[in-house]
Amino acid sequence: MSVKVEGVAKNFGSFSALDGVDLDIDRGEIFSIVGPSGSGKTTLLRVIAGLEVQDRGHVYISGRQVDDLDPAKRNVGMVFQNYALYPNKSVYENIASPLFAKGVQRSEAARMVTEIASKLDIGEILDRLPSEISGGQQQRVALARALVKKPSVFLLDEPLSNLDAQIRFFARRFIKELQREFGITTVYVTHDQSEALSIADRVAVIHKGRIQQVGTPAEVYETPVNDFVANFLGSPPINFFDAKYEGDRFFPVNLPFKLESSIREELKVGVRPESIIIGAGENTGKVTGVDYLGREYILYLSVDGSEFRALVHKLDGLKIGSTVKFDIQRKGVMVFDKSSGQRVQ
Amino acid sequence: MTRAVGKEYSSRLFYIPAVVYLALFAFLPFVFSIFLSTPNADFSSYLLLFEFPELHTVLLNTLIFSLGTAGFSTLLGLALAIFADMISHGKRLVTLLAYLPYTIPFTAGALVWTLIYDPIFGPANFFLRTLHLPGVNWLGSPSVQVYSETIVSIWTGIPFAFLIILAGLNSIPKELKEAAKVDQLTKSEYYTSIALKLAKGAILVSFLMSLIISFGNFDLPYILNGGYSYSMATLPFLVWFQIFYQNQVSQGLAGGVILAAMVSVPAFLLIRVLSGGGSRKEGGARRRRAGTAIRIPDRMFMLLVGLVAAVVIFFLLFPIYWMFLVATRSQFMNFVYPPVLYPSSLTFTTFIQTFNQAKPYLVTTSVVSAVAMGITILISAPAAYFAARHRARWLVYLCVYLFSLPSTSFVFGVYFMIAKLGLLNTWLALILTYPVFTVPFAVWTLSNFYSQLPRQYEEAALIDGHSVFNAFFRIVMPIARPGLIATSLLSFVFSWHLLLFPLVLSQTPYQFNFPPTGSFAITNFATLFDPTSLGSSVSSNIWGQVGSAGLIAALPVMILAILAQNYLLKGIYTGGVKG
Repeated sequence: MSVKVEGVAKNFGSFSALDGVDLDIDRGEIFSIVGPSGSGKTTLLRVIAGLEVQDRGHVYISGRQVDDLDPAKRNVGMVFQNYALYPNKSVYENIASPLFAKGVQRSEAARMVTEIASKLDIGEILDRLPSEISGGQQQRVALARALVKKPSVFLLDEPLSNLDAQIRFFARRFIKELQREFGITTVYVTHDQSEALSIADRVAVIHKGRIQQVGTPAEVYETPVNDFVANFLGSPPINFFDAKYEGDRFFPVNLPFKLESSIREELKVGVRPESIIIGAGENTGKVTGVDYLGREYILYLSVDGSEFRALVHKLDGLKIGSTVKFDIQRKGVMVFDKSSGQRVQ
Repeated sequence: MTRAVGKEYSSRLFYIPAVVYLALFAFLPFVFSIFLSTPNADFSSYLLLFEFPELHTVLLNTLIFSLGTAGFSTLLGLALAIFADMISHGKRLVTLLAYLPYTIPFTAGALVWTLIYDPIFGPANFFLRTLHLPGVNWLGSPSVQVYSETIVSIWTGIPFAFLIILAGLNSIPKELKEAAKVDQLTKSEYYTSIALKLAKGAILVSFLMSLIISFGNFDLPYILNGGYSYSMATLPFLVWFQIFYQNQVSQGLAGGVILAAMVSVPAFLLIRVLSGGGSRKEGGARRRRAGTAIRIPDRMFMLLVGLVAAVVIFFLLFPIYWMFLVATRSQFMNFVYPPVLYPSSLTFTTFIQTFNQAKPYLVTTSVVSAVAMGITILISAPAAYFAARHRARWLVYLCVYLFSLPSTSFVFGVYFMIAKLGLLNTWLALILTYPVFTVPFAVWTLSNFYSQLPRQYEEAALIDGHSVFNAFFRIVMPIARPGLIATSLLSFVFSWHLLLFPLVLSQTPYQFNFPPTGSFAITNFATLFDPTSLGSSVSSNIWGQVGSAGLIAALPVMILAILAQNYLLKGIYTGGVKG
């Protein structure tokens, strides 16, 4: 039960929403599509669902080409961003809707609805209307409606974006466990990179209708293929600065490694905030701002006119205006070609 | 590829019934009418019409009537809307009172006004004399006739203007009103510098719709013009008069074509406004004209607006009160001066007599309006859904245009078709033709409802495994039920109001037989009570009969409108219109 997307392109008027997208989603994995708004991630999900018809390319579900199939015939389950629960139908009728559409007998449908409802802990609210239950419950009803028909693929479009921050944390965990339990191939669209990294087995980063990189969360975070991926993943965002490499040394900030690439000038260096070690080292900067995050602080440093973000656990008397020494760890530093944005090291 | 084709095919099924219906019953008769207006393949009938000595009077009347109605309805509706927007309590009551005349058929309203305009015993002249002004022979003197009928038309037009503009004022974000308060703007400044500019679209729509409706208004001038005089005729009346009374068919049709051409101007402007044309330029203009704010102390402004609103509400409600009064009181209270304005020696004798006479007409109108409503919804809802989902603006614009097209411009084609089918004077004739008015309106209004409905519902239905048709009929239709009810009710009310089609297509009242023959509508019944043609036989209660006839024609839809106020207002706010 895998999903394969092959050379898919989709235009809306002159706007190219998807431009030659290829994806191979393995059976049983949670595959996350992440990108900024307008990147084409939702369009891609809708093409897989059959809600949009692609202009070019093919979609395969479980090895079968589904280009000509209506959404109803693709056997996909989908959770919409706003859940799209039918407001005039009870929770029970909402969950049973796919079963009735299939022509499942009433008694059999009742059994299946009760079963999934108890699994999702919404058995108590089956006779309520969607407007009478909480946001978290609405989300579970939407999950139940999508899963009750045992779809080949489970599609989730920003399923957590309508939840409060606290509930979101538990809902994320819940979806992950639910997916493990059902073992169902899942495509999870989100704009929130931390959500994508935490929930997915593999992540595809999409930008301007093109897939930038596919890999495990660690792969895409630690070894991004270009500056877009490096910038999009991680919070606070990665530090970029223009650099040169002369005589085995980076300028203006020294970095603890040698450059193997043949490109020596026109470099763009990215440094993850957590890779900047404050307190010692040969670089100096001036503190220009401090953000308290609870567990740690973001320290804003001015170094030769460019601003750096670093993470520290303790302030140790640092304040705005202090001058600090800092060092940069090898891990979390990436070098990009300035013009193409491709990573060279 | 095959899927795209299949999808296209199934979505076409959504709008084909409505389009085919409109093509057969509106477009074809219209083209036929244009065709027959040039019987010798030349423009001789137009030339004859232009040589017609009264034509310039009629054209001038049409312009005075239409522009006067549109201008004053919008202006007074605006004042009332500002009043309703300003008050913190009683907004609902003001809305209900202000929209009552909207529910009354033109025919019934016009009847009551003929009583109000009575030169000797009517309250209109009494009010003038109380203000030390000379009395007027409202409907008799050629120099004032057209203004008298324009006043009645303004009376019918204010409610709609009020509702549309109030909806416009309501749609202004509350934060702006609060920001204005924080900035210490007076109420007068808020309304003149902020609210009016943001509600400009609603004001424009109100003006254009009012203009379109009065250009095509046949009923009102027809009833008020008891003597069929040219001095108070407007173009729709002339068209009907030439075709069906004078037997000058091609000349009358030529008049209909000219009328259609005249209406096309505001119709196209309306389509432009609805399509959001020109709105982009507004931003700059607004900033430049920021200096037009009027600053009056709040107290004075509220007093001023309140005063205007009180006069307008009195103007709107007095005729309805008068209708109830004369319908239910003894004839001896009528022909006295000064007129008795309070309820006294009430009796239901005349009303009950008139009601008994009205029964066959009421049955016809009820059945025809109900069946036409069913047909309307059945073919309009899918078409509206198609228009909303596929952004088929052409379909909406087509409906706006057909809605604007005066029925007099194509009534002859409809008459000809129904006559050929042998259906004259049958219920079926009315059932088949009434949706010409209600379908365009319903498609327009419902498409607004559907485009407000999140697309996710039907997408979820498709994912659930429903077919495109089931997704619409089983998921979307039930979710959009309030819009459907509102549109159905308005469609029923409009059908109830119709006069021209039953006037042309029917000959006798219903005979209580089966299959039903005789198809005069309740509006036909009301026309029987035109006081000038009733004469003045002393023995019977003429005013009582006129008032009762008006009341009987108006009461069912008034009650319906009051009971279903919330639904109806929703329908009107969403782009509703009066047929």
